[in-house]
Amino acid sequence: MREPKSMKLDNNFFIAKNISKSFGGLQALHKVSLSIPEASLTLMIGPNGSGKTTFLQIISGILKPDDGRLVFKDHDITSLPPNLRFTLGIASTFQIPRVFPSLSVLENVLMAAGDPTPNPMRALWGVDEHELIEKAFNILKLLSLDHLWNKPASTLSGGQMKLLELARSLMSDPKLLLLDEPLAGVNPALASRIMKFLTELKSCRGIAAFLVEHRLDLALKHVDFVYVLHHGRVISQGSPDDVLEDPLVAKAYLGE
Amino acid sequence: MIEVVVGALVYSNLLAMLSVGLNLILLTCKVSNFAHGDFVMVGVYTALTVSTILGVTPYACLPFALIAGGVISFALYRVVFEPLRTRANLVMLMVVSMALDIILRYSLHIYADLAQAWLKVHTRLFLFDDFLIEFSGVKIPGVLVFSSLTSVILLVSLYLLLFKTRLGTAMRASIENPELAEALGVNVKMVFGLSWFLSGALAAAAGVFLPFRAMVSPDTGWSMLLPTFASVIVGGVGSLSGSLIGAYTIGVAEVFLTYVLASLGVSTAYRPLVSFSAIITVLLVSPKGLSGFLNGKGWKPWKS
Repeated sequence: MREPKSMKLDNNFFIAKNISKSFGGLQALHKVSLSIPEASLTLMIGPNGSGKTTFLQIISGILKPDDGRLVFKDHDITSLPPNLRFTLGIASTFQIPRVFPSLSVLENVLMAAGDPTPNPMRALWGVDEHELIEKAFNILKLLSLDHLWNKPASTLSGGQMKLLELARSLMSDPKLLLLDEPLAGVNPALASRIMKFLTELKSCRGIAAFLVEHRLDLALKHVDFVYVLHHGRVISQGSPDDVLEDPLVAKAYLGE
Repeated sequence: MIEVVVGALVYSNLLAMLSVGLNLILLTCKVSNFAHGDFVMVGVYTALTVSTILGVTPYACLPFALIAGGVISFALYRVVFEPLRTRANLVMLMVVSMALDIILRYSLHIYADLAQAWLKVHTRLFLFDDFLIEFSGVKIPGVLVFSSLTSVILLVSLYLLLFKTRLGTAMRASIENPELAEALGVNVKMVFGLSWFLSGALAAAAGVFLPFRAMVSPDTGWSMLLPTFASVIVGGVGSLSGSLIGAYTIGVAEVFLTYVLASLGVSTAYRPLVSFSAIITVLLVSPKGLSGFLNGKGWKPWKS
């Protein structure tokens, strides 16, 4: 295994240490460690069934690890529920987009603007509603969804729903975006737009993104660092070029 | 005949407030709330108590009734239904609400006994005194004016809350997918608690007007429950606007058919026949109610 070159291991933005998880007798993850620096694009690849989605669900809090620790900005988040991780600044999108079908596009985005219940009167009198709506519109404009703002989310195409999910996760001003196969089922033009958009977020807003993807061709050239997962273990890590040259990776992908 | 029209309109106004509240709880927590009628009686006894103490017309006690009904309903949710929300199935929730109905009803009986001794007024089978309001020479019973105004104002406010505020958006989102709403940082517990508050408050508001038209006792809530369920089913479970149509359909049908029965010399005690027949007919012909029939589609909270 190569030592990572471009990363410092003492970076304390996001660290996963020795994460293990098994389902019944099946060991899905075996002591997976990785770190995600601030304002970076990190990609995790691996063949189907290598444990990528399991790992992502552990970071977002949907699954609990059997062993290991998660540290985000000096907070130990290992046992935090998903909604608290969300308020800390970790936002997720899903492999199959999850939106509120009968709510409008704008309302879907506004849902991530923070919990309205602690201060219902504020939410009721609309003190900051105007600013929030403006912010939501700006995000929708960035993703070219603004013309659809009043349409129910159920009328969007699959690709548009992915963009809507992305817009929604941006509404909460996240520090770390977790993206589960953002390019799956998306045409190449839209895929490269999404990747360019993530690169922009990184450089303009300092948002880190962690992608799980198996469409290497579309994702690889945009990312800073790559982890390769195989049978629940990290078998290779490094810059995209390093990983492509690693014989272990070719072997894992070709199934030899 | 005018008396019948007034009766039908007032009755329908009350049913509208009741059925929208009942339907809201069905949407949010999937509870067929059999204790809903007791919130009406909470409103009745709040109005009786406050109006006797302050010596004002019961209409002026509406704000107290709204708060009392809302708070008791919210408390029921936090103590009983919130812990059960993710654990119990639909039948269990329904049975629990039936048990709560009995508990609330007998608590109200105890309160009626205490209030009778304390306030020195009749607390069972009493009527509120109404007055007439004159509009350009036409005298209209106060209860028609005030119940119509109240139901319109409350229901329009509910609509604005649900569709024009972020809190309402959060409520609609939590109805559609509570897990996703929670993952987005929404406090779903509080949102659902608010729906219970609104539901209880609407029912208690209806309670303020009921004793102007009918003699009440703590058991009256139960008899209001059947036409309320009928309104929800006729309008379509899950459709709040459908509940409004359902309420006026059931309200008008019940009063007029009773009038016809009475003029034929048949006892008016058969009045609940209307609601029961409506429930069965609608479930057989168009299970999603009128709104489902008109839209060609509808919400299916039973299946989710």
